[in-house]
Amino acid sequence: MIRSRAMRKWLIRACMLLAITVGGPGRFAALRAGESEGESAAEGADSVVFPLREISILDSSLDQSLLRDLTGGARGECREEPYEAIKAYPKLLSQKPIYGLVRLAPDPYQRESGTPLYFVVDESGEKPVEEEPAKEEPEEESSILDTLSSALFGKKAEKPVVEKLPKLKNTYDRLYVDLNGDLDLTNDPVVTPMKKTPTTLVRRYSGLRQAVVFKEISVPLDFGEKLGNQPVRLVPRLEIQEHEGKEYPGVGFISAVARKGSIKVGKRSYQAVLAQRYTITGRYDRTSTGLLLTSPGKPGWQDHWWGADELSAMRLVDGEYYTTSTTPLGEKLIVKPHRGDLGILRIGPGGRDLDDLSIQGSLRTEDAGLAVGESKPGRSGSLEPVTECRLPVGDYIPVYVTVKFGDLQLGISENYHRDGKQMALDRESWVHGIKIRKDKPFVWDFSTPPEVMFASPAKDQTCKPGDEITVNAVLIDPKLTIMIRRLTDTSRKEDKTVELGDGRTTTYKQPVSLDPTVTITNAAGKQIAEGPMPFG
Amino acid sequence: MPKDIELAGDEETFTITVRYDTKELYGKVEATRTFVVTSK
Repeated sequence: MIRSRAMRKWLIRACMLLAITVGGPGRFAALRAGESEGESAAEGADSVVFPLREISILDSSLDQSLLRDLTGGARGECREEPYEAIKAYPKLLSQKPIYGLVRLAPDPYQRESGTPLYFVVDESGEKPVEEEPAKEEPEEESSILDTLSSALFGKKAEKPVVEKLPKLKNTYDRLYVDLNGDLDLTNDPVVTPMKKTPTTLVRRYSGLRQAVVFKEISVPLDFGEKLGNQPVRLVPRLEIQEHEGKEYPGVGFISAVARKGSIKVGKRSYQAVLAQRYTITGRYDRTSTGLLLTSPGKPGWQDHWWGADELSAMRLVDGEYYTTSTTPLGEKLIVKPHRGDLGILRIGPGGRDLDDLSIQGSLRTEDAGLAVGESKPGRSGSLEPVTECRLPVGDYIPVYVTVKFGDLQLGISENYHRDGKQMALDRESWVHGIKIRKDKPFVWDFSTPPEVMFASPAKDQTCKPGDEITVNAVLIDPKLTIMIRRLTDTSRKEDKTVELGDGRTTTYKQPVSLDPTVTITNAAGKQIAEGPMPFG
Repeated sequence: MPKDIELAGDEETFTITVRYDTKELYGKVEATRTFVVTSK
């Protein structure tokens, strides 16, 4: 254990991500490429083109669970100080205006890219509208808690005690957005809250203090030479949450519309929703545009692997890979079978005496993500681990894969850190080192000597007494530019206690995590701190 | 860094050592990183 309390702050923490969505069935209509005009004809004889219609996230007749899944929104940054780039803000009445900036149509791998949209949220001082009592929501077939519980414990969760949520006190009721992009917020119209807050746009939880959904705004974005500027409809939402006595504001910009239609991939029918969920891409024909597929009669996504919810995903259906694409305005979805060569990815022991070897998860090329693992019919989109699989010929990097390597289980992703820089997202230096070729299997056997990269601190970084230094070291394969995110010994188990979110905890057995240890010594070589550094 | 840390001079170099035991994957792996604490 760490001996010095102050030193404990130095040690790094783990993180976990979970994303679950649901949808519904629909009817099917399609045109063979060549039967339609323009872009679809150029797609080739194998392509099938499906029309998509525009839907509004405010349409209450649509499937509510689907709508909830479409309303994450692009998060803007918020702060207490005005931005220097802004020439003038309107006269603000609040003692604590919320100044913000969101970037539209950004490059997901480049910081501070995209079209900046500045805003400020103010308080008029008028009496907030009284919140109506929340209606009882029908129980869903499968909740997030059930899914998490099934993943962790292999059983459905007990229904938790319903917590009475505190009433919202929405005092922030004026929004100014630099809609004309002149960096002057005094000449833009004031945006006021919707008279009635759509329930699908606000997710209630105990720490939520304010949730204000503003009226729709329209922002012009460049759709390219042919289409010029096009209006992009957005619904701004302010949420203020309280944690340990401090309030944290967040402003999301939700795409007011999405595209929906019935499609077929191979012989299988799906309901498709094309949406700008967490990034406002403007044009729909971007790799990060969301594409959610659901099977008729089955709630939830078709696939549960990282990247399966993106337009750029390459999907394996009945043994054949398919790509999907769309037009800038998203009025049609083009499904095309992959006709290129395939090769083999195999997990190998690399000369070790191991026989329990498998992989499951997702990889991506420069352009597309795809699953590794076997999709079993009737198993709600989860993937079964495989020792080897066929992939389209190309160069890959893991998004996230789980590898069973004898008694060890590894979680692996691309290494997005750089030496001395956390979360560098430096896409240029990524190597797509998993090279799938037609004639020779790629055997991933962990034979490259590993390295330890210190994302923090930087070499010889200086600090003063009282400063906080974060130690963030990652175990990497420098050849594949990947990092080991998790390493457990499945032959040994330890107790793990987690909070269920309603004040209760539960304890279960889990494989022992082989966390590295960290020690810190002074110039004289005396050890002044030590402790484990959990994987994350 | 603790506010009351006693430095050997105006500045002192500290060494972070990270040790992994990855069993049959890579065996034991170790790396170090230095940082400097200054009193000014």
